[in-house]
Amino acid sequence: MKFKIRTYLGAVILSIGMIGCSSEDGGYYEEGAVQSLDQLSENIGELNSCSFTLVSTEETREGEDWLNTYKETDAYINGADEMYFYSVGDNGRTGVWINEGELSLFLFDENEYQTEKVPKNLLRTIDSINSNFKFQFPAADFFYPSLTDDIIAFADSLFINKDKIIDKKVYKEIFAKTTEKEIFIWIDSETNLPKQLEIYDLGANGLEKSYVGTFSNWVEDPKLPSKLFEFSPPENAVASEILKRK
Amino acid sequence: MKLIKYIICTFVLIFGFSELQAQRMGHGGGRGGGAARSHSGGSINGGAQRSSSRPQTTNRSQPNRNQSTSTQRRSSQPKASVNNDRNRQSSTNRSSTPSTRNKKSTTREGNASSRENKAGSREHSKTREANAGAREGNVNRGDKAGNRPSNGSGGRNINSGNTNVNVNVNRNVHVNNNHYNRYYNGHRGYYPYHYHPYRPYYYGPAWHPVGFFMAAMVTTAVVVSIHNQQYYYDSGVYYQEVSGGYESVPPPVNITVINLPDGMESVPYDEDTYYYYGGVFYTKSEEGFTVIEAPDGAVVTNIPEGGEEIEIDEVKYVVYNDTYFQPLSQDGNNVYQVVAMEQNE
Repeated sequence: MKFKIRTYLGAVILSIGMIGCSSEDGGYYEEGAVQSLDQLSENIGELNSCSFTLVSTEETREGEDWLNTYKETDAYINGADEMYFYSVGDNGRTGVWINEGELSLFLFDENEYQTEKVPKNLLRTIDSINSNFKFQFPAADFFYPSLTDDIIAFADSLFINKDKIIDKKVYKEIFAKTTEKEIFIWIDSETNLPKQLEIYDLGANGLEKSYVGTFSNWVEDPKLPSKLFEFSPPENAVASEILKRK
Repeated sequence: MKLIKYIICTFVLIFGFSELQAQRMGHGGGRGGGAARSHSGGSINGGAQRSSSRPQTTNRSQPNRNQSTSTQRRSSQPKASVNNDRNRQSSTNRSSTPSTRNKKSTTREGNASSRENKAGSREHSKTREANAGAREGNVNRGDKAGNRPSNGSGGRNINSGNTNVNVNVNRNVHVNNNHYNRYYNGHRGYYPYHYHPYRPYYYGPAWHPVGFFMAAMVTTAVVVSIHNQQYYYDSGVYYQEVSGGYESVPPPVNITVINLPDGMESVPYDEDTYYYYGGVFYTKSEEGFTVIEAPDGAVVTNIPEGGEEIEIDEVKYVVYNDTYFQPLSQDGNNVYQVVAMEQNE
């Protein structure tokens, strides 16, 4: 029996090695891009709290037409388990509170809300919500501690482009590419925080979908009041199934 | 039973985290992404993680960051606001970039996005809208009245013989067409690679490809010079004196001529307008038209005789005077887009 287990484990270890090797075949990754992403990731990894504004435009091809949605979000994150964001856009005004293992979503215009039990960890919450519902969190990509490795694993090639200089501020531009997706990340050279995220989904007919999100008002380690992350539904608010299941 | 437990544990270890998917970029690519660590201290995400088994990276110097005279990358820097140095020296022998791996094509076929940005308050919206406006509907529609497609040499004494196009497979270059303004066409004009055969364009009887020999210079030629080098210029073609006559040559960057022949294309690109004739790009100045390197990402309608079709990673390009053009289809018209190319080691 021991022999069998050892044999099996040997095969598994070999398989892991093969998986590891195959995933690293053929990629083109520029050192500067990897370093820049690491710096960004390390900087965010050191944050205990933050707030920012994200303005995003999403465009989706619908036959000959393009559907545009615009959204402006103010986001506040505290530690590993508290988050609040408020969005105003084409789909109305939305508030999302994550606190103590509970996610609350409130539609200000409809006066409807939904509460979901979630893990007591923001990233696990994001994973959980993403896997069950059609819902995106603002800028959550950048808060994954393995951001650089995730992008390397995802992309066929990773470039660092020319610096962008806008209003005398310098931004590094990272470009990650697969055949189906192209991602551009602008990183503020001074703060090592993201400035812009652009994602282009490509299909047989070219661009199918685009997302452009621009950050501003980054505040690192602000003191955020705990009340900010608490949600109490208004008296006449109606509990509703707001989140659409996948 | 123990074996079953081992199997279950092993699969959880290998695949458990990697199946997590989150957000737009898809985290959990097999290196632990998506598997957030527990809250440690007050940190939002527990601190950055870094895989110990990353793939090999390429140490490429950033493109033209110091505006050096080296043209490691073919692309010029057309945008006026960023690294716009048109005084770079011409280099027909492009130096190879360090440690570039021969990777599959990394083509950006005119990456695009909406420029009709609703977010008027956005920091970059002005630039975007300006670009979009400049490009709307005026990209190389082909104002070539009077010219006709090439049917070959037309009886001219052309010694290049390039009308017989061969497709060569070139594995010694690496496509790196970082079109810095990926909004070039606006999303409604996003044009993926679309192969169409190279049909050399006929610019008229006075136009000659590089290498064309003439025993005597035409009377309409004017002398232009740069760096103490004299050139004869006539009808968009540059000549230098050689033994027994004159030979057409690629023009040096920064040389200025007073005018360009009819059939010149204006190429709006990245907030600027360039001019193109006979495979050569120009900017306009008070003195006339100054030769520049081909702006990476610029789209043109025609490539003259003298180009060569090559294949790189199953994508065909036309190379003309060291400039790589990628075939595209734009609004149903066959066009070419300049792409940057790097030499492999």
